[in-house]
Amino acid sequence: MFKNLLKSSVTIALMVITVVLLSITIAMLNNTEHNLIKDNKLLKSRLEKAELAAAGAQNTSRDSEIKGPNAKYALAFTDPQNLLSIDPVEWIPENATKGGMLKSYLGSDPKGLNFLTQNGSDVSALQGYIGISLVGRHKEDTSKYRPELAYHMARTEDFLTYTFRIRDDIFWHKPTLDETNPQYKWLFEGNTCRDGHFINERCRVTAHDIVYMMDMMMNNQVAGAAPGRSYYSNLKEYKAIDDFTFRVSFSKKTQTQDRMVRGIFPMPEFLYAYDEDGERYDDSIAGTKFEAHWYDPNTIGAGPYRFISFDPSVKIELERDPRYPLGGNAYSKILFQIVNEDLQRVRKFKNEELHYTGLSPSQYRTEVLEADEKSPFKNGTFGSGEFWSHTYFYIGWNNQSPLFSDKRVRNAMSHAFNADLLLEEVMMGLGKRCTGPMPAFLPQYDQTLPPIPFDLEKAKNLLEESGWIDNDGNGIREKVIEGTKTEFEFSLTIYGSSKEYKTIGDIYKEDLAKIGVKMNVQPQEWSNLLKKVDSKEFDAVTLAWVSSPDVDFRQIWHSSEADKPQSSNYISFRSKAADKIIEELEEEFDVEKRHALAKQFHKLIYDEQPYTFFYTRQNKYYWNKELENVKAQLTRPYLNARAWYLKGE
Amino acid sequence: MLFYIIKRMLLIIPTFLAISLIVFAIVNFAPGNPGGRQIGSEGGQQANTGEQRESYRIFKEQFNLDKPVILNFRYNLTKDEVVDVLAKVLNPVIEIDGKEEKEYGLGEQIESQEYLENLGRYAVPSLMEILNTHPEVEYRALASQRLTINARQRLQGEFRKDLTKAQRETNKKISDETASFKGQYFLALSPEDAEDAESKTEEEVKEFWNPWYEQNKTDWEYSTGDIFSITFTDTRFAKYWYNLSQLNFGVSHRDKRPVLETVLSKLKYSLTLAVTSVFLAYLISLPLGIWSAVNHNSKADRAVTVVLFMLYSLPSFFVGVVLLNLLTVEYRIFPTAGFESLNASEMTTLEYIKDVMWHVFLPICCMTYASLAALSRYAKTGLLDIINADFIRTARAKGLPESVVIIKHAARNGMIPILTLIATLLPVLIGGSIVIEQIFGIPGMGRYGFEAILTRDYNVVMAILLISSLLTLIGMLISDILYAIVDPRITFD
Repeated sequence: MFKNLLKSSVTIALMVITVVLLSITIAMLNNTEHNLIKDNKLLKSRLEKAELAAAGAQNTSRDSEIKGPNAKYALAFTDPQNLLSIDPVEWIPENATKGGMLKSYLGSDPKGLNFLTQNGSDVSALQGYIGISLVGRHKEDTSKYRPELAYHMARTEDFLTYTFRIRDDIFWHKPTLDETNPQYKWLFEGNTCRDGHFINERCRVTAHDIVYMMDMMMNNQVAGAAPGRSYYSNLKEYKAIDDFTFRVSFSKKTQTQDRMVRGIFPMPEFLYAYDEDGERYDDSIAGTKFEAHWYDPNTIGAGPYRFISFDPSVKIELERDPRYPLGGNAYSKILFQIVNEDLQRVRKFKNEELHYTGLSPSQYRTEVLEADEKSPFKNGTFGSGEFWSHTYFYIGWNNQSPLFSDKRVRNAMSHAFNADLLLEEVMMGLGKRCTGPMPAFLPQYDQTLPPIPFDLEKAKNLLEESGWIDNDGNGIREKVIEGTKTEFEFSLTIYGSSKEYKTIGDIYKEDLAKIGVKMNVQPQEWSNLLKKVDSKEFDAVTLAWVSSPDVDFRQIWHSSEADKPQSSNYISFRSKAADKIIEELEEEFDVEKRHALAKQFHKLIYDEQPYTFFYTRQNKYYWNKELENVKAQLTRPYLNARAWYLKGE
Repeated sequence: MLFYIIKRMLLIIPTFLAISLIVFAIVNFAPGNPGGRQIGSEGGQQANTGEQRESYRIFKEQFNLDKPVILNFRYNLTKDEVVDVLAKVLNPVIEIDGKEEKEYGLGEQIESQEYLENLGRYAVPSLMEILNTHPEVEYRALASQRLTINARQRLQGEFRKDLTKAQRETNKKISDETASFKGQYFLALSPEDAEDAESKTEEEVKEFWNPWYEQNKTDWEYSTGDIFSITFTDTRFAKYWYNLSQLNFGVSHRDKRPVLETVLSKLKYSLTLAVTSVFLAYLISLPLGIWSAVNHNSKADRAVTVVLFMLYSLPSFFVGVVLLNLLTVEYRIFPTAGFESLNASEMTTLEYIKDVMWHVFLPICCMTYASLAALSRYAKTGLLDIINADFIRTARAKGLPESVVIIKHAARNGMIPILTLIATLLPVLIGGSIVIEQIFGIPGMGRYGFEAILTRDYNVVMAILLISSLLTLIGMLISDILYAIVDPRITFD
């Protein structure tokens, strides 16, 4: 008995000792780890400070009328040939606090981060932070262009040749790879940089990088660049005149390519043109290798922020490039959390895990309109603002269908669409009625055309005028078309995941029933919806177009597009007069005349009503008051945080 | 027993093969296409995307989507078939009942265009014949235009890193040849009407293609062996199966990353959730079941049963959202989403473990509570069966204390069926919980698979289906073996 007791107590004692020792060891280890991490952080912040100081010394500008980074190129801006001018609006005020981490978000995982082959909106938003383009739009007068990489942009009088002169103080960031790995020694030692351009451990951006970007865009193997490639059908030649001059010329003058050349940006040849061991790819496979590159899914740029990491479905991190000379980089870090659920995004914002957020119409209703006064969205806890996006929502009528080939019928349909009510009640008033084929706030939009009013009597009259009469008394109008009696019944295809469209469809259906037209609402998944639209197997469809400030009408409205399968003119709109205006617009460079032509086009479409135009969206966004200087941009990306900064402690 | 296990393991192979064939067929024949355009950020289409045709063709080629699904008979392609396809692509306007209309629907036209692209080099002999002999100029012109694309050869191992010197040289030759095709076509219109600067006259074009065809003619002379190998190997399934046999699930269409790599990286999240919640569910429901069995039909037992079934009937997505709104926004006790804090890389191991536990607490609660009802009922009935058995009566008669009777004699036997249930839970581990992962923003397998279905990312969908069916098969084997091990009465011999 006693022996047993002894045995058990020894066992227990041993176990207790083991547990105690283990705990001590774990605690010690944890401590060491903690210190290591702290040291690392300290070292990093010291390094950054040193770099910042160095950059500051480099950037003190000489006396000149133009202050800041463009001072050294001041002469270039006195040249009347230069299409660029200094943006009078600074990114951030001079006294802005620097530092801190911006907590931002992306709505979905980017499919890849190669800026040439990926053209999703989230990737181009990231490109705005990481990359640098040749030129940019002015922040307030969006018809003007400011210098970025290029400080001088000239165009010959025949509008065929464009020459860009670029800065000599823009450097590619260090690639996001393990610097200590001997495999990447060639990269970090600058072996693949052009001679004389590897300075302070970084490769300089040269005109050859722009040539490389063009090479890849024009390369048939690069499938992702095909959309961009299609704009360069008149391309004659492009080359680097010297390390800092790039020239591109065309065989035909068009307005579109005048815009497209402003979208050119450099791609780092020293990285993308080489395989993982630093060997240059053979030209025959350069395109495929570029498309699926070993450096993916990392990305690289020469802009205000350097890419640090991409954790799929979790986050993307960027850090400030202290040597970037052009400003607009107040934060020391930017964190993009990937939040693909709307509710979650608002929760995160309320919980201060995000610095800003947008609200959808339905969220706007629950969080703002119908919320009680305590709601942080209402009681002044958050800052709020709005911006207009370059969109217009519409119902497209299949102009080939016997039902909708008559413009009186299409007008009747527009009169039966209670747009004002739907905009107010379903879209929560977040928008403005739109009457024509462009966002309703553009200068070339004709404000004098009144929105088509909701008027069922007028609609009835128009239908009767065009021969649709209910003779058999079944409540549905009919007409004899080519010998067969046709009832006025059709389907409205809508995007099935959208609650808002569903409500709109239901209300429209009831209103149409009142005037003797039977409409069935047909919700479709996105890929099926596109398939129907592409093959023109639809009667009517609700969709939206997203455009740029310079609206290009050809793709959507020219008759030559109507016969092409999978074209954007899927409603088969044909009008000789419209074609003529489109063609004139393509060769017209004078802004006033362009606007006059666009207004003429607007009127024409307004009369024809190939679409029933609905509205242009206004977007609400809210920010945490830690942020200062918050304002939305006038062009995409609207919520560009480069102009904002975080309050200092 | 050993013989049985070997037999079962061998059986897994044909079963798995059959499953992979079915999965492959379902996924490939489902409506919708991969690589289609995505919905824009603002719920609309991008206006300035331009012509995407060529980009889509290359995409199809890269992922073998241009090949027939199961069997390939394209070596049999005759000129007449190609003429039919060309007719649909041309889609001439004809008179129907005195009205001018296109002969075919636009949907048919698009499909034919796609089919023509998919035919690739198989269509070359027929196209040559059409170019040289067809009476209508539209057909000859279209044939020449198609030749510049269909005659292209694919580069070898374009996604491989380690190309041999010979392969590099072949690739060089192929790309030179492809480059020489550029502009070798003519338009049906006269050159003055055509604005296309590149187009040539019919004679010039024929002068290029005829000698080229003569030179490469042997490429299209198939031996019996060739025919056999084309039929079975130049297909989507064969390519897929070949890759699969090397444990290569291919790359995702969406992000071009290897699927297996992504799946493995996602396992960390899904496994943590699934293993913990299964473990917790057993930890709670086993004692609960035993307690219920002992106190069978008492008031307390009934109360517990009612509560459990109330929990069971509450959908987890509802409970999840309520918990989130209450405990993360109203009272900030738990984080709003995610698996770990965003500064996780700056944590010590101990801090990290704490951090993850803090993050997964709510999702695990949501995943666990619903299974409590079922599991504890299983445990209860299992035990009730045993408690009335003779050997329990004997144990009681021996004068053993009730606790020993229940825990040592009854519970061990009564828990057999419920323990074997664990094995069938294996596929759940990998499939993850789509709803929970979505609500709590956890980047696990469930969310990955769900997004893949929406974008028709074939390789990912197939990989996830196959991995979970393999796990189901293994799980069933394990559960059968477990039966035999824990219950000596069961043998398979």
